[in-house]
Amino acid sequence: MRRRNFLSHLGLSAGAWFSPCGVQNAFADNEEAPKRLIILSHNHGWTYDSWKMRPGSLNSELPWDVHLSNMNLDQFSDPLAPLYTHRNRMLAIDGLSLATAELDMDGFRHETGWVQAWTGNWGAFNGSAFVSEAGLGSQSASLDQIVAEQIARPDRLPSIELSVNFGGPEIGRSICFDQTGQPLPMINAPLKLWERLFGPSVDPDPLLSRREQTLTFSQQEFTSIRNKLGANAKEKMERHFELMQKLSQRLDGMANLNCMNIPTPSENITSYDENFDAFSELVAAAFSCDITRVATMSLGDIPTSDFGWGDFTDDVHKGLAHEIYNDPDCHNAMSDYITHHAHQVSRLITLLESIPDTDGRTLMDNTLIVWGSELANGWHGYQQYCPLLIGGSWHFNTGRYIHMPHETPIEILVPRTIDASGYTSVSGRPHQHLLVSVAQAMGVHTDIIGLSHVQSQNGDWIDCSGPIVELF
Amino acid sequence: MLGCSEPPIAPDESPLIALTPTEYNNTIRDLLAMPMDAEAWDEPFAVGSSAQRAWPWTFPKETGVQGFEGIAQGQRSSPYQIEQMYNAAVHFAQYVHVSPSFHTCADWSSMLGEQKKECGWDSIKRFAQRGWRRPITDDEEQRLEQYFEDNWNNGTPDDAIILTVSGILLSPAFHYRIEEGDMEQQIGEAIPLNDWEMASRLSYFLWDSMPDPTLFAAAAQGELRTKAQIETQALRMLSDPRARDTVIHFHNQWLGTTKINHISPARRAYGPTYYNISAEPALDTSDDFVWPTILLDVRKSMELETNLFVERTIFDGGGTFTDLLTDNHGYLSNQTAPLYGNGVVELSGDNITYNDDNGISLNLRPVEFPADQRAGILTLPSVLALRAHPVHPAPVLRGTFIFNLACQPLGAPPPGAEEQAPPDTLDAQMTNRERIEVATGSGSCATCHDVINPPGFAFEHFDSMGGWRTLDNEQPIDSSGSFRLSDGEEFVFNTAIELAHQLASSTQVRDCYSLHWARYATGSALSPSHPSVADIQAQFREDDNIQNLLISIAKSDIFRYRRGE
Repeated sequence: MRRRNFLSHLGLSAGAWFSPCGVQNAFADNEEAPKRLIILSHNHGWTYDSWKMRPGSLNSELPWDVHLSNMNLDQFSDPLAPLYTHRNRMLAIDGLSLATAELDMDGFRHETGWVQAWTGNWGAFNGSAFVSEAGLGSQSASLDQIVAEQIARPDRLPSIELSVNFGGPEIGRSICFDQTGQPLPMINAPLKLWERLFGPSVDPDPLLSRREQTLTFSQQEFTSIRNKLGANAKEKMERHFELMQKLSQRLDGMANLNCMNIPTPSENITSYDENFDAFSELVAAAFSCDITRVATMSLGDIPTSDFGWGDFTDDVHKGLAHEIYNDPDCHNAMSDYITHHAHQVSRLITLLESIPDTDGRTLMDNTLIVWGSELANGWHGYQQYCPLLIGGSWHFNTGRYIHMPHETPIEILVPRTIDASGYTSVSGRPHQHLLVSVAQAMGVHTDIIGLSHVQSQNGDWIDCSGPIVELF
Repeated sequence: MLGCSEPPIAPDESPLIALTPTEYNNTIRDLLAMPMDAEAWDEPFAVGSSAQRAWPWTFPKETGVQGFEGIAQGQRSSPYQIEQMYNAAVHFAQYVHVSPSFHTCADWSSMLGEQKKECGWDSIKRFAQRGWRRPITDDEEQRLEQYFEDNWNNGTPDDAIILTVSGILLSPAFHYRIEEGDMEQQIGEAIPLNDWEMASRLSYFLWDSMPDPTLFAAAAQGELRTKAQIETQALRMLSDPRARDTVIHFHNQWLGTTKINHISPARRAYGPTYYNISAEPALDTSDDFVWPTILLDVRKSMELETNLFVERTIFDGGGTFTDLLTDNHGYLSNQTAPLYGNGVVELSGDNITYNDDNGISLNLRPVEFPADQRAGILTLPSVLALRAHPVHPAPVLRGTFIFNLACQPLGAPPPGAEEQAPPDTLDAQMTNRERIEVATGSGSCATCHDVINPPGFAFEHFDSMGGWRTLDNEQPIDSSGSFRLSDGEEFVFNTAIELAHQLASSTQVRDCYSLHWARYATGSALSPSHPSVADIQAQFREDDNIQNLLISIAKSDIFRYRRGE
């Protein structure tokens, strides 16, 4: 049954929207629910001065944390205010930097940042793409792929990689890297995601389903020779064909999904927000039906008119982001840009909270959202990186704003209006600690994601391993 | 039969070897008879993964053994690798209908009915025999025919072919080099490989690919059994361009130059010196692309210079191991010329031009380097720059590399050792050698570094980009030193050039080089003390010729026999 026919069969139009509760799926109550991960990455970093919070004039030179539940909405900064209702799930981290990206001396600060932010590795330009170059003892893969390998169901998609855009010149780039360090392709339209998630079961490609038989055939060939092999050879080939069986299981699993009330994204999306929400609905549906447990959403630039600055410029990147330290209007505009993203994230959280999970709680109770960026700010700076964790209370002590003073002896490029030398003498903690924290929360047993250590410009050795202990 | 006076045959175990990523891609190319240039491949017949370039497929790298792929002990399947094998099989199967070697009939597209089916089955059968690199057994033929029938009856003829070919490419006989040997000819524990297995051993050893029709024909006629027959084939194969690619591939693994993209010298240290650009990128990011673009060209040029040096030395030059370590001829481009400094003599001869889709455009010119500055592979900028920090060269890494060339393991550095390294900063005091000596010369560090550092200091005339320098921090360079290898050979030198000449005639270094080739040929992590290896090494010590080394390995017991379990 082709997709359009399938929609007609359900009595739905291709443009139909679905209600969040429509993605509920038939699970037995009180089953242990799987943990899920969503990575959100927007472009151009933050405007730290408008993002940060200093309730009670807390000292920026000291470490501290505050419980967000004790704060009023008017104490929240503008970019964080849209998330106020979800504050008990949040961990706002003030005290990191993309310091190791500063040491990646190749230029290309955006591209280096995309690799560094989500793999923790050096970025290397191979002529056509930026790839991830693993350091000693680490993997080339990005955080999402490392987690997916740990928690994926063998019969379902390990992960989905999404690029959310609408009309902006800067799309959501690939921030997912495979085990060879190559960037993975991103799905850039909800309909394409629908095809990937539900196509094999709703609208099976006859050739695809028959391709499973190729695996069966090769399995037969293995069976026919296995007794001729010596012990070592047999063990090696048995592992190979066990993995083939698992692959077959996945192809089979995807072709035989039994999801209820599958959402149907519109073919006529008219705004960035609609696009974001359509992707969110599908991610929620995929989680609800356990089609995947890891989703990455790389957020392209929002059209300036969407956040109230259309008359000022139509270019977020060069019209606003680059000028945040030169022009107060640009700074304010970028603050509104982050605020607009925060509204989107808030809607995603609300959606996940509205869907029951297998354990009787909600999808959000079993999901960890990590919201980061490729830069710390639009000036291409790596200082004052401001990630948010939302969820993950099974591992983290959530509901807090954590401040850690900058004490890492890595020099970071800053405007001369901030430091006359053009560099700070210290940076925030390397963000690899955040990647390790997330990996551990998702059940990956490692102390290293990306670079385990680096040498600063002054020869200091900087440890990048281990989690951020303040998160617990 | 074995004569009474001949020494006993010394086989090795025949481990199960999977095709390496290189071998897989080369095999696919030759199996489909497609051009070397993927741009020249016809569009696939079916709609498929359009975003994927036609060829080669990107597989995850093997874990490897001492930097080499294709050694059984360094191969382990992973979920991701298996997924890529599946994707690759699906992808390449779509090309069979545009392959010039697949159909056994000339007019597949216009055929109908039983006639078409007959052609399809004949084509499939031939494809399986070539892909599995041997005649298929009756049982295999029955299963394959049944599978083909199922596909034929459940879809279009074109799809039936594509699906059946996917199955062939996913079968163990394609992915693995399964060797049973000719059991009827077993002598003691030594089982000679059968003709088809021998054809594959030769082709994967010398071409990193499947046998060609001549090798298949020789196998079919039983002409791969004697040493003389094998030598005839090996000589023929070494004259084929594919052998040049294989020899280059081996040396890239040996020298570590497969990691050429890891070369990351600092703009602040080398941008102004060699490329007349500012030390720091502009704050407005307008020249962000300048240094990466320079490095892109430089890395590619270094890679090509390395490959050309290896190829021209072994196939067109003196052809000896001594030449490989001492010859001062090579190639340079405008992008790397600043690294070589003055005194380079341009030679007449073919320039090599290189252009690619990434916008790299290079013109490599044959040159003679000053004999007191460059000598063979050890002074290639690629080899030196890979063993350097962004600002300063790394004598410790270079010294370790020299011991690796001699197969003399040094063990892993103790925890925290790296942190003792002097800062890699522009404002460093003293010379690089002095700073390394201060950092490593006392306490427990000295125990190992007294051994490791001297051969590394020999290369202090070469900076982090492999560029020639006469001063370090405005001080004269001291590249003298001495060290001893585990077999007792002693090296005393004033420069890297002197050291290179001494290493070229070193017994331990030559033995190590032979051992790596023997492992590469057999896919087994052979013991250095294996008697067959010792024979090969003894011959190479005297002969010095690298092509002769490869032939002697092909004729050896470890190559022609497997050990029964």
